[in-house]
Amino acid sequence: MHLFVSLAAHGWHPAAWRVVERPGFEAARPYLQAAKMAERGGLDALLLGLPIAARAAREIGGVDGLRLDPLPLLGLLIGATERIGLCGYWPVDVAEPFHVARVFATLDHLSGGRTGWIAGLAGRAETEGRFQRADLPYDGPDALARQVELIDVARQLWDSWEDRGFVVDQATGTFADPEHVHPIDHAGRFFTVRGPLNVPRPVQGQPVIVQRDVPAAAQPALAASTEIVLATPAALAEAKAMRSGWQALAPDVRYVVSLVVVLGETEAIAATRAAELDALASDRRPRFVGTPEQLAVHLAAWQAAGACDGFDILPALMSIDLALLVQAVVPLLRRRGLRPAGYAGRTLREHLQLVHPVSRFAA
Amino acid sequence: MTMMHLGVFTYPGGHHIAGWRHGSVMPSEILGYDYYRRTAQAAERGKFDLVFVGDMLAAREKDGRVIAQGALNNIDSISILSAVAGATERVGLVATLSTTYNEPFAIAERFATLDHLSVGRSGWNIITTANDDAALNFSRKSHMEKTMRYQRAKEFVDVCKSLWGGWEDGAIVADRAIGTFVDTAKVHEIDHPGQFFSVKGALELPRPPQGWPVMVQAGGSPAGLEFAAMVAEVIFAAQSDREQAIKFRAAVKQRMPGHGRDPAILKVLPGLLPILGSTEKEALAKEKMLNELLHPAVGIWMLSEQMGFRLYDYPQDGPLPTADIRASGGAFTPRVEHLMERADREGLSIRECGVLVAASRSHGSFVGTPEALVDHMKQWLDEGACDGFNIMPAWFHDEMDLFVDQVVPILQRRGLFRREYEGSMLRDHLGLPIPAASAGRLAA
Repeated sequence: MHLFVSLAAHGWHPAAWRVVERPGFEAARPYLQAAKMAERGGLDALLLGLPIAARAAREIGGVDGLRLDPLPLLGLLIGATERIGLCGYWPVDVAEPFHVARVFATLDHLSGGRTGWIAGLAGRAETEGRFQRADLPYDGPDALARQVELIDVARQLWDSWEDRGFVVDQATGTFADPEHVHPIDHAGRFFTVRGPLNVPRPVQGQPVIVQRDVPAAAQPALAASTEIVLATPAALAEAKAMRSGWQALAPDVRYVVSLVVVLGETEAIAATRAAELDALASDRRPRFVGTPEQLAVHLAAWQAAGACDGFDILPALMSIDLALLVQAVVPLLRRRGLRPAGYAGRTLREHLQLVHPVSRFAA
Repeated sequence: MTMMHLGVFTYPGGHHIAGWRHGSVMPSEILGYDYYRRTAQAAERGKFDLVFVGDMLAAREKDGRVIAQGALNNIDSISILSAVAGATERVGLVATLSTTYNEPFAIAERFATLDHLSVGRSGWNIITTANDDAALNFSRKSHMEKTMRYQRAKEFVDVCKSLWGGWEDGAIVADRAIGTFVDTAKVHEIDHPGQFFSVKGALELPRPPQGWPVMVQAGGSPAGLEFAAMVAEVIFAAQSDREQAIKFRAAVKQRMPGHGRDPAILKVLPGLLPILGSTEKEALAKEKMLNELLHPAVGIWMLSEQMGFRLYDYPQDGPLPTADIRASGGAFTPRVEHLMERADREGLSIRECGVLVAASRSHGSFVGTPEALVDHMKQWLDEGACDGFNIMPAWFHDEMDLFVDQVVPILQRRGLFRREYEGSMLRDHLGLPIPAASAGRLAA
């Protein structure tokens, strides 16, 4: 079972900030604490950036309605962790593929191969005012076509250095082997990019490509590039149907269910916690309320039913629910043989058992 | 006595173009986190003002092929500096990003984040990107013309400052009892319909601890000089000649009052590549060793790129063909002009010019003992050629450690450099004021 956690400063319940001791804005500390906690639990990856549509996230209020740029935050967490994967949201709406490829290649090198790119569209409402550009489609089929092409160009740029392109032979003074570093000469509808990238091939070949809550109409176009898809199904039957839909398009894609969790040592404690939070602010999203044992049973049952390949946990309150996930739920999943005892590999691809892509330019 | 300011310019391998070939460099590690952490921590141990990372948006190539011996440029600056932010507490973090190939809202958000994560240690080296190749990686047929680039840069910076000033201090209330997190009356949207950018909205982040990142600038051309006078708080200058450096610094300072700015705040930090030995002879031997590691092809290539003139078919041991180069009608940077003048004066060959350019990438260098280096630095400072230096170690990490352990103590003993940090923000180290929230707001 894949296990991710979406990071928040205080938590994913809209009232999270109202029940913590330090409700104000602190940029680094809460994320550093949560990242180290998640790594102690051997989780596969941290997800950075808004886990739900930005507008809805803003309604959460408090610190978690603010928006730190996920990329510097990802950079910060590289130094604070050693094994856990780090996935960052960089919406494609106004992005340039050369920037995306360059930054993620850098982050992948710095982290020793632990990065993933959440390559979503933020949409017109998020983008139009801030970037008033006549050449941008903002939404609809053209925005999707631009998204598909942008992801493709970024992957070409990561491929532009074959694994053996970066020679660094001190004896001969050969830094790169020009036979194995290639211009990409991409000329498409939205982008014209010569390449090659000026960062050697990422440790993972390519960072893992992640998508979140992809509309049905966009799924066929994005299937070819997507490796992890995060979704928010309302019920088990819907999850099964969505997963088989994705698998029909892309047999190797991993379908991961996002779930807000409110935990307590007893059912009553969990219910009381949820009620106290709800009294401060309502939260209508699908969520799980119960004990760590009940959550472990729930996750195992969905996985066994073929509803998903893993979970993206959104702790209602980081300080309590992430801690219980790591200290209580993970050991139960391990006992069931659903989680490994620790990190066997170094890279995110190794954690997820995804193949190391071969450069398309390799002979 | 005037105190000096010091930065260190990180680089994968080292600043001497052949520095990465030195036996102590572990080439497999030059892209990893520990490599940059070590440099940043060495800088902090030496009480440096800042760590500096450059930016390039195209590979080093010739005729569509990367230069085999050419070493690598800096990898992404913000990523490196955000990664080392957690491993350091005081040292400033200066990242380079281009205004020609970015959008102001995204960059304002990125630097606001870095400034918050580092609690007030960020700086932005504002560049307009000098190499034409970048255009070809960004769906443009040609690079934007220089005057236009600087007009765009000015508007870009104005929009960013306006966004950073959008949140008043105290906008975050975080009152749990009444459920008010933000006092929306203290958050101001901008609505900027401009020549290059139209931006409406506000950042979703409170004001950065420093108000805005320290504004750094690196260009030396007339357009760059005027831009520096308008916005720069720090200038990272490529100056290898003291007299020219004095003139340059005076020229920027002279233009600042015209833009309503106090020249006293400006800090000019030329690049400096030190090659140190316990005796001068030892230092010269080290320089010779490095220059012998330099592959001639790299020198000719770097020279051709900088001059915008292909030197590949000229005899390498013949004189630099300055007449042909000038006749090609290129727009030469001050660095190139300076090199051509020197080549004519000293009768330098193409190969020798290549070594000069490649060795320090036309920044200043110094070969000698630590004591002699301090004399050299003090002379530049005393004569008004600079306010400090951006140190460019020939290779990492030995040469950086050498500077920190052997040069910094002499600077401190002679009262030229701080023994301890006095503040925690980059603006504190540089003696720069924190701008008022309203300072950057554009007129509605």
